[in-house]
Amino acid sequence: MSKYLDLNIKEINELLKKKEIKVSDLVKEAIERIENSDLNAFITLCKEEALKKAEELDDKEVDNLLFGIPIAIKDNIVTKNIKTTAGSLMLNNFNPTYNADVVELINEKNMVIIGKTNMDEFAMGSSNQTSYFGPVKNPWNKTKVPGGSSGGNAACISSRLVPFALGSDTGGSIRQPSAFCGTVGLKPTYGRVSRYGLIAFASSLDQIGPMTRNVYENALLLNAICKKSKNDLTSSDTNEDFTRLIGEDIKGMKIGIPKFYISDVIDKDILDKFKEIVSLLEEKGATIDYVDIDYIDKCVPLYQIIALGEASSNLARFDGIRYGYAAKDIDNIDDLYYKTRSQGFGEEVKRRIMVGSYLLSGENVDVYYNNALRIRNAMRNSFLDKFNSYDLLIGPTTTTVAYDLNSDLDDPNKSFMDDVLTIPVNMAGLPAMSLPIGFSNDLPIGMQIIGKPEDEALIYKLGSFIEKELSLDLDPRGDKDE
Amino acid sequence: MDKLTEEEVMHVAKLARIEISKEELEKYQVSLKKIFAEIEKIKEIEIEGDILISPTSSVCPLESITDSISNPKEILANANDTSGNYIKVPVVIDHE
Repeated sequence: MSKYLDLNIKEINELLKKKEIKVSDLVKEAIERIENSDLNAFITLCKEEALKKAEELDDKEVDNLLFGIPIAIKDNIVTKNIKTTAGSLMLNNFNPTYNADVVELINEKNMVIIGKTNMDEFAMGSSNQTSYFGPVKNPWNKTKVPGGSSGGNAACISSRLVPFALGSDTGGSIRQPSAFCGTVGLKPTYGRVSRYGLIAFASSLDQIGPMTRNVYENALLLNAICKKSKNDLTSSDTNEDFTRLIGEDIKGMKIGIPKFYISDVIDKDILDKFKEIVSLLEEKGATIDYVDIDYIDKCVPLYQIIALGEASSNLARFDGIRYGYAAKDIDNIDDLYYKTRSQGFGEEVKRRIMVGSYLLSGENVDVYYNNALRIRNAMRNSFLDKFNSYDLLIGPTTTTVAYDLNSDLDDPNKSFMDDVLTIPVNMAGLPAMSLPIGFSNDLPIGMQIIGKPEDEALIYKLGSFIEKELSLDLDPRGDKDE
Repeated sequence: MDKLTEEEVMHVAKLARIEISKEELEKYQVSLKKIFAEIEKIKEIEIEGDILISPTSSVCPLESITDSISNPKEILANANDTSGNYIKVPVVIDHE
């Protein structure tokens, strides 16, 4: 088997430009790797479409670094005429009639969509175990979860099936699996990337973002997907190169660490590794302070109220009529609603919709939802205030490393607690990236870099600095020959 | 009490238009209660001030965006039951 996909993006680009390899070679290699993989990372493999696109590109001029590169798309991002399930039986027969904005943008760069990746059902979960299509395995240890909800993405990037993937992050769904699988994942500023064509979970928190093997390639993919869209009025106007600060010195950088991010809920191995990074940054000329973020310790119930409230409203559209699963043998419209939703949704999704519906009913709106929105505002202001004194905030991404498949399935709060360090960022609409900083028992540890709104370039600067200093071997394939 | 009553679960299930079987009922009594117990912690906070619905830094003008549908056949292909260019819906008002 060829090994072009083990090269970095600039090396692949050189080979394509010199016509030493063709796009078809890359696509065939990716398909072969995916077909030989037992991680269950993909729900749909677009073999024929990808090979056809590759052949078309073989005759075209290579005009950008992403040209001809295989990319995986999380299965809650709609792709025209390619089945898009959101990991649910509810959409197992759904063929979108249009492309998400981000899909149009990567098509403009002539990237090749290789398939749709596995995920927690409707992005509700943090272990990929709520998927209707079965769990994904962690490439570092196949008895462990890959994290979620973008678990398929993290597993396929980590195991080098493809170099790029697009995920979505509502409470940590890009960063937490990136931490568990030893990959780089960024949740952009809310509004940075158009959400048009992302199957909505919690609209005020959802954001599409890049998942990659390294920091530079992450910035490159973000360059490709940022563009104001008439279809998403929250999307912002951007024209910047996110790679521009990569390689710069970090001397004089002011960094804050929220005290919540070094509390004793976090595993000792993770804290120890994180403290090593803190020492490294100090040694290299950054100043470090510890800061308090208001209400950050209440972020889990805050998230449960806001995210589940929004989810109950967003998922009300699944009614068995216009698209998606429809129950058989029904008598009237109410019967269709009840049976379709009971049979089409999995347990986690149903539980979350029920909680959300309750929170938005009657006077609960004031007691819970409106109060949560006030706390959210205060938390965001507290974050923004810190950025008057600090360039960036840092902390671990997760409280543990990847845990066993099938553990704690009976605890309905587990999937929320897994995201306790990532949720605050979504609440405040900030950009944040997870990158690998080491290992605990051969499982990757991730740290998070949080920036002020629209400051992704600075996050990449610090991230690439740490990445270069550590120079970790992040390839889980032992002999590199799998 | 560490679980919701059967009536409480049936109430939230109705709000969500979800049918609950007898076997599921007991499970949801416990698991929903655990989530609500977590959510109750928000009540410890007394707060006044502005609300934040969406953390958008840009201005969102209200504007109607419409696209004409050029592919009704593709759209109808996703529907459960169709007739010509229409989607068929089960009985809404029962005349019995």
